[in-house]
Amino acid sequence: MKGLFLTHCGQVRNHNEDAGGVFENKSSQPIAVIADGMGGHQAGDVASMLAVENIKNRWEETERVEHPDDMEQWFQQTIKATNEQIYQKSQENKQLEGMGTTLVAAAMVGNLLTIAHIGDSRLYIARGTQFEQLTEDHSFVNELVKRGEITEGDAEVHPYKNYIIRALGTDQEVDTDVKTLTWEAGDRLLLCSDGLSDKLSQTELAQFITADKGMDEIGQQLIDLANQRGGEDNISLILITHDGSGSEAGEPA
Amino acid sequence: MNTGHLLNDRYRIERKIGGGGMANVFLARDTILDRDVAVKALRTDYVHDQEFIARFDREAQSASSLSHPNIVNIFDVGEDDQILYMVMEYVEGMTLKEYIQQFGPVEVPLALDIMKQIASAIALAHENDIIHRDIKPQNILIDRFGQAKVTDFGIAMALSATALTQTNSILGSVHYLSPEQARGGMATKKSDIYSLGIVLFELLTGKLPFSGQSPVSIALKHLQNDTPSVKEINPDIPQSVENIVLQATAKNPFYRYQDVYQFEAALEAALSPEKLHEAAFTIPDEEGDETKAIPIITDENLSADDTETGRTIVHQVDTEPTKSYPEENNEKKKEKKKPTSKKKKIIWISILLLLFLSIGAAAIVYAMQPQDVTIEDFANQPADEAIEMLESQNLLVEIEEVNSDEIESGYVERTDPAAGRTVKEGATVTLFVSQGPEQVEFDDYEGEDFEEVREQLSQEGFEDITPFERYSDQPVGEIISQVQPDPGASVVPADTKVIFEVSAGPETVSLNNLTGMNEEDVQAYLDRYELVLNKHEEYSDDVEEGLVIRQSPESGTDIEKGSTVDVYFSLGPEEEPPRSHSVSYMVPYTLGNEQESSEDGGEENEEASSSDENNEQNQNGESDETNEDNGDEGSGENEADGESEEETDTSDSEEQIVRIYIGDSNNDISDVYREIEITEDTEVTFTLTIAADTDAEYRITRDDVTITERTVSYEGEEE
Repeated sequence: MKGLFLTHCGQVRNHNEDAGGVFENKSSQPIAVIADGMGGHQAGDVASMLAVENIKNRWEETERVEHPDDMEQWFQQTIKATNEQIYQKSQENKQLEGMGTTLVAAAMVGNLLTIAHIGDSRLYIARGTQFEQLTEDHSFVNELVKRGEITEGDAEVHPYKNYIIRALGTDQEVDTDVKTLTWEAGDRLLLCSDGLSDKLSQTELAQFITADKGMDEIGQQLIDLANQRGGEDNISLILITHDGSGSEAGEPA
Repeated sequence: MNTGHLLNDRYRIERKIGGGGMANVFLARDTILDRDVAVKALRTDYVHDQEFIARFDREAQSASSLSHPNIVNIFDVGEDDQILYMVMEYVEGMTLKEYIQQFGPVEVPLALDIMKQIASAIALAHENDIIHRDIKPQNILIDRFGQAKVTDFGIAMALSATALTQTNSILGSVHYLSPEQARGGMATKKSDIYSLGIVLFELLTGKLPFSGQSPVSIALKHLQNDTPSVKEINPDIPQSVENIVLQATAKNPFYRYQDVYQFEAALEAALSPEKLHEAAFTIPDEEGDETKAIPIITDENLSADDTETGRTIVHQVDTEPTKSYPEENNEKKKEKKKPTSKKKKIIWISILLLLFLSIGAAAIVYAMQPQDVTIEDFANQPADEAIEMLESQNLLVEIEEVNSDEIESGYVERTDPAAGRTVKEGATVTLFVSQGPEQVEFDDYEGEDFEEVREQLSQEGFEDITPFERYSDQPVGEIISQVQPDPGASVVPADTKVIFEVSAGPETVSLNNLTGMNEEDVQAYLDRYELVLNKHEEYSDDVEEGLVIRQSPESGTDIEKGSTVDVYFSLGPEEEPPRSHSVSYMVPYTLGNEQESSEDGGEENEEASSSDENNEQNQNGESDETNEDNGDEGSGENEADGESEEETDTSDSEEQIVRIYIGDSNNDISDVYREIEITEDTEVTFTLTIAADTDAEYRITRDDVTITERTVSYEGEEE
């Protein structure tokens, strides 16, 4: 399974607060992570970097995972520890006060896909012509949408659309959404920060992702388009295709 | 920016006096005008966002046009070396938030006075079509003389329009956010009035009307829950003052004060004697099917009557053909207007009525010659448009509210007479206006069993019921808190997401396999999961000393935090007890004649010992257990023989010295264990104590010549 991670500062910001990557454990099982940092003065990048590094390091020390329960537990424990670490740092250092980050991560254990998610970074899956968002934004506006107070259209133009209500590292405790789904050969995953999903509609994303092109090309096109449309925020994405290695996925080649 | 920094070659930064995620505020010295100023500097993130800068500039410029004693003056806006800044009047004092925290709740007259100052500032802004959008005590300063000064006009809008992901910064504002702003609608002057109402609430009570764990839950309460009564918190607050809070914070902007002037006027009049005991303000009941008349008022009347008395004109009950509110309510029910109207435009219920009142007889003549009118199809049209249309056709309109799952709230479901029918001018048409789906009151389910409640709610039509599991001491499955909806809230079952926190029982830990760990690791592991160690020790041939042999409960068992875990540590292999080994040896007496034969006998152990020698040992008091056994066997003979031997042998024999050396777990081979003098062949017996896996040895000498030297293994084999 090959993964592509791209990140771009955008047209407006002078530094990139996104972080991410695709990493493997000791049995070459892949994990994809994107974090979109925020808060403090320049500390957003610290939070997202800490989150990604921590997950990477712990994953690389991890032996082969077989069971989805173990994978979910691994996520819960790792993210809990990561949260504590970021929170601790933000308490210790005045410069880092209030920092936090979103997180979307996917571990691919054979045909199982375990997703962990906090905030408004997203994970989409493309299967054939189907394209679906598998994460539910933990954002102020999405909560109002879910409760039927506003429509999705209202949410897209809402003045508070960038306010997230859950973040990693801003509080002592964190509530992580973790779930496991199956995925199949040919399925393609897109993980992204809101710098991309704010700029392209779901339909547009679907068109790009399902195009019969190489991942490098698709990824670059997405970044370019988000930049053309203003690029007010940092833009990050990961593309991964299930290459059919199936249940053998994760075995050392 | 650091102290001493000269901003734009003019403002010398003295010190930071405030700040948050978005901006920092500094005290600075204007070196040209030689006065203290406050400089608000924005995050450098925005510096490349041209759209934001333009917006920020625009908002700040328009705010700087406002000159008012209760508005913080803006002197200058600019950009210098990547810092976007705003130079403002320096107000020495504290924010109203801090003021309320220190002095709240504030006495009613003082609260009204502060509120009047704020309202007067907002009135000027509104006059200039500037909407604040983010009125909250954090944006209001109180100087040392008690003067209130409002700041940050329009900045909220500029800031929230950026693409920056933010989290907690919404918390400060969400408590004061009007329902329409929470929904993402354009903030209007009436949104500011809502926020003013919340600030008044907080001044009077020292509390916020809605609290919640998250911005969402607070926003939802602003959308769904009635503003709590300030009188309930402090019964000394006059009803007239509570009414101001209630009217300013009406969910529907339509029912709020028309403008800030009205709000100001209400503040002004609140403590006048005739107002003190006025009836409580209530929003007309928008639920249910009862028929209601809606007063319809024209624009022209509005300007005259509305602003003057703070109340719209109510139609005359006696001439009103439709059912109307009881009269005593009409007194105070200026809010009794079409709930869905967002326009300032207010319509008389009947143009005929107006004509009667203002034109007089001519209208009567006109009305006496009614024309035929065909009722249009208004289904699915906004009620206000339907009313307007019917009114323009000289028809009387009666509103009946109905519940409907299909038709959106505020839209017409049907009319009576039905569409297509013809009526005379002046006839009454009933509009059935949807109030949306039927609502039910949601109970308090805390403490009940989740599965039972889920079953019950499903039957009532609730589709989305989510349990959040949380560890607690309550029984598993019990609802420990009702996240939403609140008890007593009116909700539409099919559209309502129900969330409970459900007890998952006490927090459990899946116990790891501790086997093979040392005590330190075990203790660390158990400490981490708040478990208690009950340490045991036992011998083990397989597990190294100090490591865990086994545990109870077994690994994988889910146990509650705080439980005790029995852990058995190895003491290493068990040491076998030392064995004792008896040795008897016949030491031949060699100064006599029997030397050779005796030496042969000396090789033997117990079997070889004769009764004579045994007796000798007993008399010497050196016997041990084995020896005694032997002695008992033949005690009768021994006594008889022994006596005769003593008599015959001891008198003339020369003594030989026998020494026994023992090397065992109790003795060292180099030390003499026993020394005896013999005058005849004598059997010596002694016992070796042999520790496990060791050998013992002994040596017997006679006159310092070794006569035997042996090694005995633990198993008893002699070499």
